[in-house]
Amino acid sequence: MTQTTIPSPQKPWGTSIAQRLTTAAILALAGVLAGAATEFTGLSGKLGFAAAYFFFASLLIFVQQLRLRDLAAAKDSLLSSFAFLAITMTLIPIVSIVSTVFLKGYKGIHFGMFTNDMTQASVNDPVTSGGLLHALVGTILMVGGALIVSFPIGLLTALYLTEIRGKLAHPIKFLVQAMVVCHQSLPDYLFFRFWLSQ
Amino acid sequence: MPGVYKIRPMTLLENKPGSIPVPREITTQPRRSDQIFRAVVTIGGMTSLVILGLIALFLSLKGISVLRVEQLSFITESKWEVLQDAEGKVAESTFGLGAMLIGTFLAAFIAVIVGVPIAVLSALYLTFYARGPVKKLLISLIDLMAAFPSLLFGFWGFIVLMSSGEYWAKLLNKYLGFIPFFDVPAPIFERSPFIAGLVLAIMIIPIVTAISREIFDQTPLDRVQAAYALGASKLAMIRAVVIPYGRGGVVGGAMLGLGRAMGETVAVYTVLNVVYQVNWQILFGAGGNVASLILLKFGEAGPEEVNALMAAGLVLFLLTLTVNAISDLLINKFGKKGR
Repeated sequence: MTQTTIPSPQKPWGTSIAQRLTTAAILALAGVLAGAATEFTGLSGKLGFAAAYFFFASLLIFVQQLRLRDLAAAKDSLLSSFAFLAITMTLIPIVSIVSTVFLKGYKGIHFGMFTNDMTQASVNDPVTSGGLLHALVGTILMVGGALIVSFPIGLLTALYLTEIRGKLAHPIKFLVQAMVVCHQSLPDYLFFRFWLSQ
Repeated sequence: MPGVYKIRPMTLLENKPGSIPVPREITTQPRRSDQIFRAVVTIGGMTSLVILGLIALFLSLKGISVLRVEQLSFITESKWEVLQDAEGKVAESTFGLGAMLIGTFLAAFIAVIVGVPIAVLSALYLTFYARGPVKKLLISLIDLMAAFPSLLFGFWGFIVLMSSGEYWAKLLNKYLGFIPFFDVPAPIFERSPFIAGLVLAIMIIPIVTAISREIFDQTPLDRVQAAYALGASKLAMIRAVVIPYGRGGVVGGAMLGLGRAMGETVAVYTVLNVVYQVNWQILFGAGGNVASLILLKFGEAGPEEVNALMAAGLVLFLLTLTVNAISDLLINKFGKKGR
């Protein structure tokens, strides 16, 4: 009778406690260095600290990888640091814009907002009088009208580009792409003036 | 010759000589319904072309009088003046877009230089680093950002971004002030082309990220896995497989961002201090932008000045088309290649 011992599963590739401690130590050290940098150089404030922190953290991780493994791994770690920085920098404006809108705007939210318009309200009234109804109705009317006009044209253009593929398919595709880019108001605004002046 | 029978070919229909059907006519003529469908779709497709043509025609009709007087100096000269005599009639007018064109290019290039690397790295993060629900959340957040109206970016830039932008501008000026670009004649860092460029960069990041991410997502999985199987690190894999494959798309996305940054009106108008002078010093609080100029001057413009503004609109229109043409060319040139 041989006693079979079933080994408990292990993950030798997983991060060990020692590795996690090292990472934490590196991040803390980067914080200290960044603090020193903001103290002694022209960098100052939260932004300066964040920039210095990122610089030192990625540098220390780079050195750590270089020490443990090789140059390729160290460069790889640099890429991941930069990718992380980039996604953070992309997210900061989103979070900031949304939070700014809510923090500055939440006082104006009230029950009558969608049922009143501004006919009875003047500039000096409290923010709870009046509402958005007129603007909402106008928006819905305009968007509805725009959709009625543009949806068939857009659909037919798409059909033309994919099904018919006539001689003009290429220039139309190019111009439509250009319109997508310069949709910011300017040609539309000029066209609108054109209609007014008739 | 006797004895030789005339051999007649036998057909199935031999017994019914009266009813030989006419063979079905083979023709390339489409059916009536197809013809109608084709006509309707072609007209619909032409409509967008006609609308764009009308815009260009209207702009050139209005602007041609000014362009004829100013000729090339409309683009090169930087002077926008209307002098009135005592009766309020226009005595003399000079229109030149130089400063505004330079301002447009400056802000757009700052936006691309700042925005595109961030966007491409974000796309790499989203494709190759983020996992599961975090990835989905991030993607939907960035798509949400692409849908923000530009006015919101403008106000946010004015209220929130201005102070941090000023901080970086001061820092750049302090350490890199010896480069002419980063020099300032007076310490005014607010409302500069630099900050306008930053706002534009933030505006184009979601678009460029979305395009790059879609391109990176289409990288053939077998090549990615082959690179990993050969022992490549993520960096090596991305450099060997993803970048060669997605280069065209990324360049196209960057040009799309450039075009958007050039045409942007409201956000720049909110942030930038529009001053009519050529300003190469991006940190100094004075600059220009063709679209902002049009918005600024339209309200008080007389008939002649309106025509000049229309000509400016035409220049901007052509500029956008050129940028798009270049981006098309680049995408086709760098097309989908990869190892």
